[in-house]
Amino acid sequence: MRVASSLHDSRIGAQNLLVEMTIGEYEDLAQEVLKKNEFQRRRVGSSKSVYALLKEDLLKQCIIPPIVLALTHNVAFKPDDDVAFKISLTQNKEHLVILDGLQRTYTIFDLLADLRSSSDEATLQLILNTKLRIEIYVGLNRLGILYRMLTLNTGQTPMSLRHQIEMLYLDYISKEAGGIELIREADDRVASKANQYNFRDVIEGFNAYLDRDELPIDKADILENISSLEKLAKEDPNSELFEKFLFSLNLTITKLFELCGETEVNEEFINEYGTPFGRNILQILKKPQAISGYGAAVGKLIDFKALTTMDDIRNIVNELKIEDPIAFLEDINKSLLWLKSNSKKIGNAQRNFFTFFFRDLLNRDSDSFKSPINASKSALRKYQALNM
Amino acid sequence: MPVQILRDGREVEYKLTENEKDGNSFLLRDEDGNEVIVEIPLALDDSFSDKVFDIYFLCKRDIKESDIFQVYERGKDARIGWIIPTLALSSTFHDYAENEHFLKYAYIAVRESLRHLNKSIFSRAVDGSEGKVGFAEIFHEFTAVLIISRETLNQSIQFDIHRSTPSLIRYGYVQLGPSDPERVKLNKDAPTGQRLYIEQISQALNSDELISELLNYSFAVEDSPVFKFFLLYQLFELLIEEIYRVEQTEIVNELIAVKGDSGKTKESIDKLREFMSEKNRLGLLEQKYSQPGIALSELKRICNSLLRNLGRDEDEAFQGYFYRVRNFIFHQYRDFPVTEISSLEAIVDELLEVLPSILASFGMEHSS
Repeated sequence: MRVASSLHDSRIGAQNLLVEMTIGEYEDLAQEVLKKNEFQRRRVGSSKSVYALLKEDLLKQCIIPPIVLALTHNVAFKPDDDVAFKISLTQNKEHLVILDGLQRTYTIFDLLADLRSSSDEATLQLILNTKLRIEIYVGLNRLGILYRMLTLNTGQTPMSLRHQIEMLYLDYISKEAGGIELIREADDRVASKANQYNFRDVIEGFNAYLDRDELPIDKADILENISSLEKLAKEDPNSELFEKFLFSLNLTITKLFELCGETEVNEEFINEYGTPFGRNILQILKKPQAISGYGAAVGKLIDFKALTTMDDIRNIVNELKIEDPIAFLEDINKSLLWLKSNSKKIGNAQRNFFTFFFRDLLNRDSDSFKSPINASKSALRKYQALNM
Repeated sequence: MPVQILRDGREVEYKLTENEKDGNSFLLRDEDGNEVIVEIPLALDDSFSDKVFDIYFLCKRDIKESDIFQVYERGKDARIGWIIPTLALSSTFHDYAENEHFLKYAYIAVRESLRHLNKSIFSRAVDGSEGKVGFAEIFHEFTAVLIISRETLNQSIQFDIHRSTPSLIRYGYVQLGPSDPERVKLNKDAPTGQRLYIEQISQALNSDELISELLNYSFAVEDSPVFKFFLLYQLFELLIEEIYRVEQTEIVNELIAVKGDSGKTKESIDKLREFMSEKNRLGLLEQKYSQPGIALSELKRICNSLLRNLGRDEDEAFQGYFYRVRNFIFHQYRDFPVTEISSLEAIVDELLEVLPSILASFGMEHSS
């Protein structure tokens, strides 16, 4: 392994290293990447002939374009000391993310597996010792990585922004930031407490914030990524934006929980109107539709200069008032039940509703400013005006 | 043509693999063995997997995810299936997401639609690069599937899609063909409640396929109320033509029987004159060839209201008010005021309401 070149990327404030390593060394690093990060994208369903062609080329010792990696962990490297660099990189391999070249990595792994099962030791060794060029971004924050991922990720089958965010912020699951706990789907636990959130829902919300769009777009295309890039370019590259988003979301939900407490809609309401969207405030606001609506609303309010930054939300939220929590819960549920019966796509309609709800709630120019009950009414009116 | 998956910039056909369902996923495979998973967020129940069902692809303009109905045969008041928007099969937000009966049919709906999708049904090529696709992405958002359980059918309860068309059209459901569902202009409210009742075109009529084609492929894509009225009136033309055929046979038999009796012959010829008139045969349709009790009061009200606004005489009898509207549209449309277009639209809507009953009850058994 040899560091061939080290350049500084001033746009994202990070060092970019061009490293020469053997396929064997790369296998050792990349195996961990694929194993550790459950959101690292799965293999693309490309045709078998394309894989076969690439494998044949590798057997002929072709040089494939550099694979690009990033370290999500800040580590001090000495680029001029190749041995120390290799040790340091190996020790931190669990913090590596493949920014570009995942499908090439899968093909390399396939080829190695084929050779191992065919017991063709000579060819296996030849391939393991073939050199690759790997670019590694070191020392940039996650927003920077995201920006770079989007610029790189313009290939034939780009990853969606949401998918890239998932990969990048996965380690928030294991650490508790500001008393907030993120729960992984696979953990089989319910995010029932005020400070607990499903990781995926928060990621969707953050995606909605970055995209200023509450609707889920799982499929990626280049145009979507370019549009995300333009939005991302406006953000302060030095801020830990995800944390800010998470804290502001938690602040808002905690305040509304403080105002409504454990109050629930009663059986009489359920008998008359059917199963509510949420019986209590946490059940309502912890749903991905609400969190995405919040993300898109905050993003739009910043764009419209109704908020300067997410920091403004603290002061507004502190002044929220709910005189009658039951009336509020019934009102917001009635709006959401109306959407359930009358919208083409219920989930999308609910996301639109929550975007209007939070936009009105946090916008000082709105008649529903700081009034959740008014916002629950005006949000439905706005949805109806636009869609009916 | 099974499911079209976009791969490496081209469309590739993938077929449903039989017996390889894994939980809530269905596996599609192409000729080269490449696989794509169709994921369903619902907790599907496959306990009906060995039963036999028929599937019909429909489309309904602006269909809502919650437009899920149990389909009942009106005559026997028996449930024969479900009608489900494809959107609802990819969502857990609707009221049926945890309904145990729905989840059994939902499994069948997904399996049968993936199994039976072909070139004659409009579908979309979906990006399969991630190795999985959402079920609803395969179809246009107006698509619905009608699932009929063969088990529920017997000698007295039959199901025929052509004979069921008027009842489906009434609620905006049109048979889905290869054309883009956006072409469908018909936009009707779904039934209220949880059931959709099917009244099938009477067995006394052999023109069920013609009626079905006219409604699905001409009427449903028509936007103009005058052309819609014209197309619906074709169905009445068809019915009164059938009445003519039946009545004529009776008279001819009568004339033969009374040969030589000039008085009775004259009576028969008078009868003949009577049913020769189109207007009178419309009267016979209502009084003799349809089951009594079909609610025509709203049709009468809006037809007479239009006649009043057009400066024409109102009428109490079906053949009176309906034929006058028909005459104005057919012979004098150049004088039709733009302000009355909505009245004509209302008449078309009301005709759609009453047609299923008229067509279902049309039969010689009512003749006296």
